[in-house]
Amino acid sequence: MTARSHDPARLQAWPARSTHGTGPLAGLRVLDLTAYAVGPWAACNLAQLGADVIHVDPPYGDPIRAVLPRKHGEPTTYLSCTLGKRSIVLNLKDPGDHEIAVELAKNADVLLENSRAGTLDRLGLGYADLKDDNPGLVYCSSSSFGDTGPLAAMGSTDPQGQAFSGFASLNGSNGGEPEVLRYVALVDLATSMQLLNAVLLGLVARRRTGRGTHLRTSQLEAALSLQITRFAEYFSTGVAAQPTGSGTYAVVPSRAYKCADNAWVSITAPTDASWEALCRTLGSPETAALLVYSSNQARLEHREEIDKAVESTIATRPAAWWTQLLPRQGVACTRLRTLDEKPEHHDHIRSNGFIQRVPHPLGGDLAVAGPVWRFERTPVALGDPELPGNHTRELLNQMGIER
Amino acid sequence: MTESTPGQALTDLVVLDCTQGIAGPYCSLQLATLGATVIKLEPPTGDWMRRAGPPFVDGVGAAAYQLNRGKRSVAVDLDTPQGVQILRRLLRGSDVLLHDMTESVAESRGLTPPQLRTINPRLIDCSVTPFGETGPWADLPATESEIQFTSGTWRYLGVLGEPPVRVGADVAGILGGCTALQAILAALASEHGLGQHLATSELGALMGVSTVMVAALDDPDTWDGFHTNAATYPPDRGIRTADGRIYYGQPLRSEQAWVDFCREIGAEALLRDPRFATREMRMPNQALLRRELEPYFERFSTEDLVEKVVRSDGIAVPIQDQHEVIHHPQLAALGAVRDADGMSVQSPPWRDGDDQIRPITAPAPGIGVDTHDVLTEFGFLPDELGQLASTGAIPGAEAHHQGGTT
Repeated sequence: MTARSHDPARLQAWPARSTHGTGPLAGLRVLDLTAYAVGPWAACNLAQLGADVIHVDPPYGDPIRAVLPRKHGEPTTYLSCTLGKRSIVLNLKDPGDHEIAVELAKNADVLLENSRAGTLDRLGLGYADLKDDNPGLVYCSSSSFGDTGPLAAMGSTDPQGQAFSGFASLNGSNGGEPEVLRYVALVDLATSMQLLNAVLLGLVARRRTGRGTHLRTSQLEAALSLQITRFAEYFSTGVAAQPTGSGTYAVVPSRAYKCADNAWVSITAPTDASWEALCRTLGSPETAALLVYSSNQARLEHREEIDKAVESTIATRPAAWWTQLLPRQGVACTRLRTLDEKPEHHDHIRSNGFIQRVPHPLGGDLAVAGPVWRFERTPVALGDPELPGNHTRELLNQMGIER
Repeated sequence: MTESTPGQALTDLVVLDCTQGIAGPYCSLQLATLGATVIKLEPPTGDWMRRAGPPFVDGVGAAAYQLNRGKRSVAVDLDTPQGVQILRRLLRGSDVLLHDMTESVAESRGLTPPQLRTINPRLIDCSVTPFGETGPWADLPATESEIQFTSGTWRYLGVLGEPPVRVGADVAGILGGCTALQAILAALASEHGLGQHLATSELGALMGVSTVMVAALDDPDTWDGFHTNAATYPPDRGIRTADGRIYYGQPLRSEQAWVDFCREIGAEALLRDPRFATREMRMPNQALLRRELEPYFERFSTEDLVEKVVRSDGIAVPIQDQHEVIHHPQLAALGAVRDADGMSVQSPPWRDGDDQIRPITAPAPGIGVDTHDVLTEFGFLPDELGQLASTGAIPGAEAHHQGGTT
């Protein structure tokens, strides 16, 4: 992309959308300077909440575009993190483009960035550069290991975040070695969720103080927060937790059991009442004998005996038998499901909107996760996925810039 | 009613939290770190999570202890009409109701969104349920494990065909709590946010953070890439070193960096291997590459290797257990763990320069220890309290003298 010559005085502030969303953040202006997944998905969520999000794509393309697979030739990971945004391609090292980015930042309510520490300061787009011109700006940064400390300069991807933070150390077969959750990018998208929380708390604070602020989160801090219940255990015992397969440290029974049809069900009885219901409903002599273990404490002490009896009883019937029978008696029991069996076809997933279809920019549609909240009076909705630079011309025109 | 000073975002906000377990309590803990007063309404037997353990802290399960720090506890049984009546009176003086009622439960208790609005028109009520507030699974019992196993995340751990493995962290609960926090904060940030019903769920949250997988599995052009193939990969345990394991990422900026790195660790043979000739070829062959690198990595200590990798413009971190990560200097630099009367406490995952965010170091309350104080503050008269106690709707007046858990 070549430099654009224009008169800064003619820049027309924020090129607002002609129509606003209905969500709680309708009309809020968000400048999204992020790449990869953490920042883009956080900004996607802001768009769902009604915000007017402008995403700046680099001329060389967001590196996440190299991640496969593609649908109709477009990378699905990139598409799923663009919903509801308008994309403008700007080269922040080009003076003309840089000026446009600064103008947008000066007129934004929120700025999101996830570059390595110091990168945006060098580009004159740091919080210190903007706060005098835009004192209300809520400036939110997400880094890998935090913006200070010995690892501040290092980047990371999702599995590295899992490895370093202890998250991976809790996963694995019972007594086996730790392993990384493969390619769901759960820790990355959990970081998006904390970045979103940072934006929202900054906005709530701004309503009170009238001032913006600089909020920071990181993949490391998000990954640590995901483990708060497990670190609670460690803080009490001083002993690092080990993988426990499908089970948990604190409740017995709680595990996946294999059924007669080779499908698996997950069964948990965290309360004395559900434990009693489980024993009575399973109905075998072995399980009836287990009723004497009437507290979770007693059940933890007899974990193996309980597991064996439940295991052999569950193995006598197909999964559907147990998933019909046990929940009616108040016992948590679900079949193990997978994303590749098209959960969107299930009534429950559909009625809650957990998976929805959005128009693919090149035709047909694309399945993505639905909004993670419902708002009764300020309803939220998924936007459409966008190609990089789809709105460059429109946004420049609105800002009064001729190419 | 609150110890926070005017500086915090949620100072003066009163939150009634009727949830148990992980999701709701995580949400209200974070509301408290932002200055809100959180009143935990729990059944007379207490939040069931209090009994999940060992380990226990002062008789409370360690996780429940950490999640409920700094809250006030009121013991009320919402399965009784009297309990619901008490809640209705508390709602008049509250800003947020956080609960785990599905649509059908709210209806049976007479606490549907329109009914709540007649009690307090400005009330924000937010549900965080395991499966979602509606639909055929809404009222099924479930814990963290059932939600994880329904969401499909387990598919990307362990070995296909062998016993399933869940994520060790309570991700459904924490992420469900995150979405409730987002909903409440977004409503508070909005000009038109008050006086409405919000709904979130643990399954919805886990599906949300799986969106990249959902999109990747939606009839892609070709079945290529790690997202589509992850279910059939072997367990990913990084690469073994002389004294541990590391998670490695190849140099990103130049091919020469990769060549230099291979030479430095004595792995020249890999440079002649056609399967790894370019970065684009190494990328999809990562599992294979890890296996081929291992004999070389095993000659170096983790510390030594991490230093070599970082110098080569790659990324490498040790695979750490909880003890190792908690004691890593990076956490000290971030202030990620604080001390509270000799016990460690995790800080919230955000930092600012304005003192808006304050980790909660106060202890967790005993069951119902604040019942009489809170009800008195909300206008209940001594006679009423005596009568409620005599019918068993609330604990006796002596309960709050039995002390908390400090």
